[in-house]
Amino acid sequence: MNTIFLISHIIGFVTLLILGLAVIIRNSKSATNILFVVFVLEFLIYLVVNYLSLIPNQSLDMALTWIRWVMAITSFTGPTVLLLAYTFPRPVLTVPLGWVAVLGLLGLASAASALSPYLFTEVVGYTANNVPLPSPGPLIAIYAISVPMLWLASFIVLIRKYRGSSGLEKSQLAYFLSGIIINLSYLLLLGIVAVNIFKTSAFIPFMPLSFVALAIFIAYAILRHRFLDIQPSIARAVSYIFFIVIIAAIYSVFFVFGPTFLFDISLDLPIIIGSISLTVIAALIFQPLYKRITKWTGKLFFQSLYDSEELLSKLTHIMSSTIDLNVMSRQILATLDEEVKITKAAILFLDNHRIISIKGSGYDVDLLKSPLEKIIHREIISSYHAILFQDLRDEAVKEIFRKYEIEAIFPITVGQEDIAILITGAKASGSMYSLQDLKLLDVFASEAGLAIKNAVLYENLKIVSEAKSKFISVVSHQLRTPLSGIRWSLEMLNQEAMDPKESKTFLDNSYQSVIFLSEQLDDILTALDIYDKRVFIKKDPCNLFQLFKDNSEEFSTLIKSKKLIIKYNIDDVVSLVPADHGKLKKIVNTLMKNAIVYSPNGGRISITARKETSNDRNRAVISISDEGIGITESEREHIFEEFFRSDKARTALPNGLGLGIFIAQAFIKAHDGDLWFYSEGRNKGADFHFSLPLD
Amino acid sequence: MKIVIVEDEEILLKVLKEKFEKANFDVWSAINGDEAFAVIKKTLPDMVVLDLILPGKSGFEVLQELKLDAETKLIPVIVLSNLGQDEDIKKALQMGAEDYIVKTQHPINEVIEKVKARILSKSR
Repeated sequence: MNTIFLISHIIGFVTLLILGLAVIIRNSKSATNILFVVFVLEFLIYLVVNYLSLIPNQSLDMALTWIRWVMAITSFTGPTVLLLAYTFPRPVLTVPLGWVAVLGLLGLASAASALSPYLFTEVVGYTANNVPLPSPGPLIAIYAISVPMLWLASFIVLIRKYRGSSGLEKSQLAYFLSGIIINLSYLLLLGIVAVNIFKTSAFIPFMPLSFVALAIFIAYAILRHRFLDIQPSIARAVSYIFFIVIIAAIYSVFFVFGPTFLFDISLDLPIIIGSISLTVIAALIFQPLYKRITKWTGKLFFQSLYDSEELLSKLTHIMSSTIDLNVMSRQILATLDEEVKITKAAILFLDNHRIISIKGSGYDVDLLKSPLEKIIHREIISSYHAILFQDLRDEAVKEIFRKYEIEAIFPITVGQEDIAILITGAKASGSMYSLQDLKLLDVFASEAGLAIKNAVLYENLKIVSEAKSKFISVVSHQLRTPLSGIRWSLEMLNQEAMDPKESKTFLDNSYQSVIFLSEQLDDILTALDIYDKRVFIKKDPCNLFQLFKDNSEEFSTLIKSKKLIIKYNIDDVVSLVPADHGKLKKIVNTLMKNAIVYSPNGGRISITARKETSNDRNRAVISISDEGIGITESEREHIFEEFFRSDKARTALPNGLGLGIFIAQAFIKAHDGDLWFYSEGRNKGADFHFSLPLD
Repeated sequence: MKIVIVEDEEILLKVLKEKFEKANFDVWSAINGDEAFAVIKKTLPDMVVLDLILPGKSGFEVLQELKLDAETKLIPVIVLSNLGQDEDIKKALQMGAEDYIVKTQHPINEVIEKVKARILSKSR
């Protein structure tokens, strides 16, 4: 009987321990789990003191002491199980702290009274099976209230919750209730039925084990939340127990046998038990304590202690939760700052190796654009590798990194295309990037590609949509105006009798309008081609002088009537320029037309063309200067926009789409050239320059 | 019957002027937004035919000015423009224009008839 008793208690003890560990490992922050562990601890102690109270042949006083301890520890079970019933299975305590305090005090009061001589006054004797018989004192009432009543209350709470719940919670509560019912039945069976009907108290010592069954039910209900996850928790709990047992065993072997055999010292049992317990406790708290301390020192020394997987999933979540480029960049950069402690970071968005926008934090983004475009042009950035400052060999690039405080560059690609670049600065602590940091940023860069591409496309879509609306409104008006002129002119010619002079006016106007309409249509279609990036260049040697001459013939009437003076100064070296003839003609026509139309009467227009060499490349630079209406500060930034015409320009020439410079610039860029201008202001003339490569 | 035509396109103005004069209207004209209001206030016509895209002030601005001035606010205004989008039409009508005619969509005679009909119904 003794052996069975001992073994069953050991099994019960270990089972409770495993359950407690499994539950706290699963989630150490959930109130339900914490309360369950408290519950388990109480029953662990209960098992121990219960066993001790039933050791045969001990003095009545000892038995009484242990029984008092049993009552004391079980006093706490009532409040604990009630709190658990209220909270289960939620992670947050639903009972106000005031009530928790009251229940705690009740438990304490009951425990205190249990330890006093007034709950059980003495042990009067033993039963046939060596079960001690205590005699109850006056304070037994407190125990009766705090323990059985609270258990009853818990049962009622659980039933009410069960009725009002659904789904997973309902099944979890079912397990809890089943556990209690089984527990209760078992207790009744062993305590009352066996004693009164079968007249034996032999099973009374085994009553505590029924609570192990209850614990199993509750633990199952808690752990089965994600059905398949039970095994890892239990596996970890079991391995933890083995770990503790091994440590305790090693320690006790050395501690117990060492002194005895090596030094001939004998130690008292309490010392041995005490120090083994301390060792076990130290082993148990080692890991959580270590974690806490490293977290704290991490904060102190700016060490980023992040979980790479968790951070990556956080970043992935950001990228999949928004399509707005601004929001996405901001959140990504903020997360990198917060978790990896990277104080400066920026994302550069690329289109065809050109930087189209920069979103940064900690960097002055305007300063970054041109130096970084230089790096991109040098093709240092290849698709798959991160570039770290410490690995650089090219001094010029190193200088750029140093000047702008860049530590590393991570290309973000989709397929073969570089769509963005992540640049990062120094970490808050000033230390170098760790391997973890590099790996994280690398993986992030490789995963961010698609999300960023989508956001950029969406941004473009918005821009395109706006452009389309503007396009439609400008075009429809600009095309309708000459058309209504033609229509009404023809109606007049048809309906009214008029003298030849008047007829000629209407006919001339209609003719001019038709020509104008065709030109506008050509420009519109060209602009559409440019939008779709369908500009093709076929280079042939073009005679600049001839082009300008042809142009002044075309505008000869206007030049004569305004008495404009046009001077040419074209170097022989650039008399022939390799270019697409049609497109170069258009460029010359547009710039010359502007100069002619916006010049005042008697104004001078000077045209120069010369060769320039820079960076081993030869270019032809052509300049057209006029003394016309000029360009103001506020108009300057819009000159290259499609459909832009300044008010002054509109007054000078009311009908124009404003596509001329937009098209000219696109054509020049297609040749790999540049277009720029200078003007001192209103009515101070303007100088337009463009370059074309000669090689 | 007095009418003021605000139109910056020379040829269109010529056609409108001739046709209205033929229909026995006294025609005054303005070729930009800045002088439009002054001309209208001076002549106080029975009808204004107003283009929207004008050099200087736009037709919308002129319309607003007219409706704010006590003397001119009752003069009916017909907008004659090539801006054809719904939002422009809505805006003009909301600002108090009587009607909105898109030039390219109507022969000149129809335009004259519409204006005449408006004036006649107003004077009743």
